[in-house]
Amino acid sequence: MIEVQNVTKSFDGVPALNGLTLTVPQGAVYGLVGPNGAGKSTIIRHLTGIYRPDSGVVRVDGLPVYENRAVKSRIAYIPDELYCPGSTTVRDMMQFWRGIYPRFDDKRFEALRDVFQLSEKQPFRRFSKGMQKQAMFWLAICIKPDYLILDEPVDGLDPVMRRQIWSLILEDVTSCGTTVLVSSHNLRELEDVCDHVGVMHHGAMLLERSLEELQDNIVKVQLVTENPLPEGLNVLHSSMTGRIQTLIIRGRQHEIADLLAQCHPMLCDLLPLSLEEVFIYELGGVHYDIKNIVL
Amino acid sequence: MISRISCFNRAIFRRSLRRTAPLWVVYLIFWVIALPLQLLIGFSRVRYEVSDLQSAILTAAQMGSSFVCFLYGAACAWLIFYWLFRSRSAYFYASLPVRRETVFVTDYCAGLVVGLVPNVAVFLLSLGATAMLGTPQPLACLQWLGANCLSFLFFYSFAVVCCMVIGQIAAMPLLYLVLNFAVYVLDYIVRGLLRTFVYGMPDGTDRLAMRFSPLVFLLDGDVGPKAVSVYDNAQSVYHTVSYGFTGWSYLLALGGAGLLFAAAAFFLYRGREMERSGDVIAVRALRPIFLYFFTVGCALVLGDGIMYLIGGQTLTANFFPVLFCLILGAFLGYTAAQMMLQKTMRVFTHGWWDYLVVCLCLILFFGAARLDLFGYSRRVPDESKVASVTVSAYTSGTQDRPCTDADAIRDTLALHSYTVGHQLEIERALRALDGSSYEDGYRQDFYLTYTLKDGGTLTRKYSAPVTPETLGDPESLISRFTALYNSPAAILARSTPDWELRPADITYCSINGPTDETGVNFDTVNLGSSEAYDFYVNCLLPDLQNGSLGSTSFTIYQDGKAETWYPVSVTLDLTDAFGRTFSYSYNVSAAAEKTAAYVEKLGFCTKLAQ
Repeated sequence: MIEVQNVTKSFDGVPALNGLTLTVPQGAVYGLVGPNGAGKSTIIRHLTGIYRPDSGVVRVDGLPVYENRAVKSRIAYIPDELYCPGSTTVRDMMQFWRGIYPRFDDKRFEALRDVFQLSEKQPFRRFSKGMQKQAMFWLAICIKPDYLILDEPVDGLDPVMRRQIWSLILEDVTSCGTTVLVSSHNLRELEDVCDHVGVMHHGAMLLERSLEELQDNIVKVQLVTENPLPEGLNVLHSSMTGRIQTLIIRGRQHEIADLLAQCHPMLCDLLPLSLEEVFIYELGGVHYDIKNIVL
Repeated sequence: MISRISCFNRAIFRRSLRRTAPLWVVYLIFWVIALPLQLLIGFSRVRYEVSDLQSAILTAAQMGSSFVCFLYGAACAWLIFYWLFRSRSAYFYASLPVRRETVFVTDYCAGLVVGLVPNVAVFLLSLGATAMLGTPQPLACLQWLGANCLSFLFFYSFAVVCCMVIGQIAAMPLLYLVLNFAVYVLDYIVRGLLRTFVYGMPDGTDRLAMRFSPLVFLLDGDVGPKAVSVYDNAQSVYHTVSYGFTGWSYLLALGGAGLLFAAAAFFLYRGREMERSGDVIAVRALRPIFLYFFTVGCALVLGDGIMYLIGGQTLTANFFPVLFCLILGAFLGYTAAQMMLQKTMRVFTHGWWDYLVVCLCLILFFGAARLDLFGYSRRVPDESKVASVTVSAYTSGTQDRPCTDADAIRDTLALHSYTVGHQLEIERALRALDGSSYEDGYRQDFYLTYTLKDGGTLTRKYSAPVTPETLGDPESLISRFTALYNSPAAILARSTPDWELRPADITYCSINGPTDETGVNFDTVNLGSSEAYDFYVNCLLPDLQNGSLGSTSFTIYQDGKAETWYPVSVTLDLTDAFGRTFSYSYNVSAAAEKTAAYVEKLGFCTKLAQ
């Protein structure tokens, strides 16, 4: 389990993390989302032992990560900006990682050769960005990590390779109990793979729930009624097209349905929200919404 | 497999060796060509002395331990630790399950291997080359190896410290370069600035400051090959029997300093924040230190440069223009330092307290120096504390031997007291000479150097105004100095060696001068060692002892003619048993009876037609 408690971090007086608390259950696929500059990459660098927090605690399985060789050897990290020395080949990197990570699996490396189909002798500088990312996934999967931390992981990969890589990761999640933390702006993709989601804003955790709970707790309603809305509805957003009102309401689906029944609607459709819609409407509540600017 | 030694990781080590391969291969090839190959080609087809072979190896050691190690050490450190300068690579290394201590020790050791193993290979090849020539030189080759390794240890470790401090890829070589020369250059500039308004401040640089700029010191001659000579009584000549490498204490000190720098680098790396990659200064605690040092350094260097550009030498005696230039230099330095630290051009919005503090310190320090609050200008040593004294003109008198004569010491102190006591009057007279022609008068510099009984030295440099009036006044500073300078004790001190001369010590003796009274026809006669020795013992020395030779008159050219003219000159070059060289020059007038008689016998004319 990954635990982050009240972590603060600032760079030259500019706060990047502001008392962040985050928990990733064992075996979960945790999607970390948030607007640009929310602090996602910063917390990931804490989780991988790159940064030392100004205050607060970052623990993996109850142990601090920073300068902890034992913990870090169980974590594989694929950053958004890869470090691929120009003249280094996949084989060189494999030999390097084999000397660094004690659980590096040679057989796995051989087995995955057919999946990735990358030339092992070709220098990284000759690879495209997507191919470099494939190579890093190839190596990361081979170290058989207990924790896989991914920052914008599939950026640059083609759709087939995306599916391929996610399928390999999820296979590890089911068979080995690997915990995955993934930060991405591709919410449609996260929705397909994540079971937990944390939404960050301004260096703090805005909300953190399982995906199911998150989607259950917010409902999109299309409503036609001539009566006023009943009291007690927590409406996050409303718009009107003709006579049809579209409401985003926080709360359980059945409770909202009961309340709306009081206004005798001519039409009342309750629809689940996509993760992207949840993201947009939740952040709209903290004044991070789409501005109607006329240019 | 993970290495069992927790402070060493084989994978990182191999990677560092591979990354630096182009560098150490080039280094190895360079040395193979420069030493073993050169020895084989240079000595295989000619007859040579063993000492020549040793000299070649040890000269290579001097070059290697200075320039080559200076460049190679920095290049090794830069290539091995370059990953610290980019955030991607720094984050990559920091995320690996390897402790920081392990990463540092492994990479540092890789650098040492890259530096030392090629040296050992070249040592073995050189030894083999000398063996192939039939005269194996294990000691000289070992000295080459030792000098190179110690010097490399220092320069490499120092460069590693620079890598730990710096977070920006281009800033590291700059910092390395600047810090290597900083003490020497700043000492030179501070002395130069102080000399402009601190009465008595001598020019030149401090040897101690030179020691803190190793490349300068290594090239200065104290570290390098030295001949070991023996005197052949039968032939009355010195024979160079072998060469040895001197300066081991300094090289060992460099090696020790290298280890200290390695330890410092280790602790700096442990505390380094990886997010600082890309910053000019990556260690937070050192940022204010950098700001202050850079500002002060620019105040001195740029201030000196600005002073030179806008005023040349005319500003040099004026305190306030100098101070203005320093403050302007500090402004430029402070602005540049803030730009580098904050990575923005918009630094004028921040507080300027740091800059004001630096300006205040500069004003206080140079103001105190100007007002002589440190008592530097007023200091005249107590006679009881002086062991010897050297009086010299033109230069600081490095080859003059100190004079221990009590009367000479007393006379020197009297001149010193007079010069200090009449400071304002002398400075006024010197200022009056500014802009005047050489025929109206000039400044004559002179140096007083005391060796104190506690082992210390005290040197002062003064300028005496030389004008027709001062030359005619027996109480003037130049007259007093001339009297002291031409005393027999002072003449012997600056004109004779401090050991008992032997024929073999004389390496060159030449007499040059006119052969008739017109002064138009000149000739040169070179004497052999024995002849020169007789000439020195029987003519030069007696005339020097009675003061008829070796005295100096400070004169003024009038109507294109000097008051005094010495037609014949004698040059005597000496080398002592330690290989030190000395050169003396004597101007022979008719007053030096014995010398004049000798040169006249050789056909020279000591009296010109008026």
